[in-house]
Amino acid sequence: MKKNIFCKILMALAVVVMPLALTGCDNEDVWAYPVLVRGDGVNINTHELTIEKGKTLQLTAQRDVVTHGQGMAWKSSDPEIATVDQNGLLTAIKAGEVKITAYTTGGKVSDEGYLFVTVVNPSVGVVDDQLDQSDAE
Amino acid sequence: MKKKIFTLLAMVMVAMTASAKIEGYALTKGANAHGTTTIKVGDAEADSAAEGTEVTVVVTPAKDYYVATVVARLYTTWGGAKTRGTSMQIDSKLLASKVKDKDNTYTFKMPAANVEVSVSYIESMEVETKEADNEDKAVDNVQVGIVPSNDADPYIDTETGEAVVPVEANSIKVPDQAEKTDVTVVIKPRTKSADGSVTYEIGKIMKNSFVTGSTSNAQVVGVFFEKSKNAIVIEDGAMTVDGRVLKVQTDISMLDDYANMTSLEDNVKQGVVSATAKPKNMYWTFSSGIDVLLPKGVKAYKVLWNNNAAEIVELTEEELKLKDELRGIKANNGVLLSCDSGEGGAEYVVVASPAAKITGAKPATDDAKSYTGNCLVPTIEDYNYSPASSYRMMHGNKFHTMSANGKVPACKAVLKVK
Repeated sequence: MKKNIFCKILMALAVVVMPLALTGCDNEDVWAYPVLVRGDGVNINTHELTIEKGKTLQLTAQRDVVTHGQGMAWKSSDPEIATVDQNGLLTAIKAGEVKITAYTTGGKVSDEGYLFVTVVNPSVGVVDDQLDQSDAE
Repeated sequence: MKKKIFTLLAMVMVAMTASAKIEGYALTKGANAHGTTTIKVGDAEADSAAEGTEVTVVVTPAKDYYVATVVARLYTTWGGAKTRGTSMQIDSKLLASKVKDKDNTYTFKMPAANVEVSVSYIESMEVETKEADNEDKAVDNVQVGIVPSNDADPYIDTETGEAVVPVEANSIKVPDQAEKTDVTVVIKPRTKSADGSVTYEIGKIMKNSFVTGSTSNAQVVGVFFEKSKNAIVIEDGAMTVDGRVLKVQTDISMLDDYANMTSLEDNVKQGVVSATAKPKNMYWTFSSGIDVLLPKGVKAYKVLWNNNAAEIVELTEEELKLKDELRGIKANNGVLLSCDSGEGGAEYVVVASPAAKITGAKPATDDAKSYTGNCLVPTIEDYNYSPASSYRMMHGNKFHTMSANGKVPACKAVLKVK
């Protein structure tokens, strides 16, 4: 009887522990976790950024789960509009819209985060003060 | 008895003659340093004339002198002394006019006042020299020989009251220097004569004007034309001395006027026709009636007007491409320039493109619209934009609305927003 109870306890433990043991360190290989792209001026709610042509911005990719043995990579949907290097440095090339993706590498499942970037031309200020035409520079 | 009657008649005639003379006004000769003056009424020399009579003045200049002006000034006498200008407006008026095709003969209608006729003569004109590129050394006492213009007569400038004498430059005299010296001559549009009596206005530069001679150790290497109302006409070959092509520099607003002259074609091809810009601020607008090379340290932009914002877009290498693979700004386009230094105050040399198309005509003022979407309009000549509300102008690194007053200076550009 005691042996029976002991067996039942062991089986119950096995049921609880096995899935944990199976997932272990590789749990990001089967479970997807969101990646959040951050940077100065980035709206983290809408995942949007507006940047002037010619400017650069350092982006970071943040995950809620700390992973081991995985890397983070970056890509741009249109490098003619904006490029992003593998350290997350964004460079605005010309006016237009582009999607920047940060994604994990090395795992069975790749987690991704997005940033929608609008590159605009730089602008010069406009003042309403009626100067004499001969003051034009 | 008969004798008495004859005497009485003679006295009456004398009295009548005297009264006729009282009706006339005195004609006297004033300054005349280098020649002789004869004043006539009809064919006879006269020292008085009645109002409305045509008076002729014949001037005979001494050898190598030319008449600059013949001025007939009104005066009154008071206590035996001449008192000029009962009416000062009239006093400064050039009354004499030159008789066409009859050199040195002038006429005027006698006014109801005494008149003094003065003659001034054209003498050589002193010009400044300029240090350029740290190679040229400024020298003193450089004289330019001048002759009266064939195309324009002397006149009174109504704004300044000056007697202005249009002249043509035909020679230069640079004092011998201790060592070989290169000179850049500065041509001002107007220069006072040595005695200050008249103002010379250079309208033309004749061939050989800058030849100093093979024995001289001073040579002219460049000419700087200051800003003038109209570009000075340059005769073919005047800007080449002994096979050397002279550097031609001018005010930025007149670069296209000079570079478009066929007489400067060799100078343009050698890339030595230029102007210096000194922007006050980092951003400045520019346009020209001729292709120019983009100066070093400067970027060029077109400006788009979107949602009440002035967006600037740097010109691409393709857009900057000029004929013969040169890099610069195309003629008749408004552009925004920015100094790489991030501030104004420095000087930038703007060179007419050696591959530019030279028309020989006054530069066109229309907008060539070479840069897609560009809302900047070139201002090739000083221009008042109307309605002013349709435009914005650059000032202090910003585009401003502008009033109806004044004119946008030549070689700038304005932003068309409507």
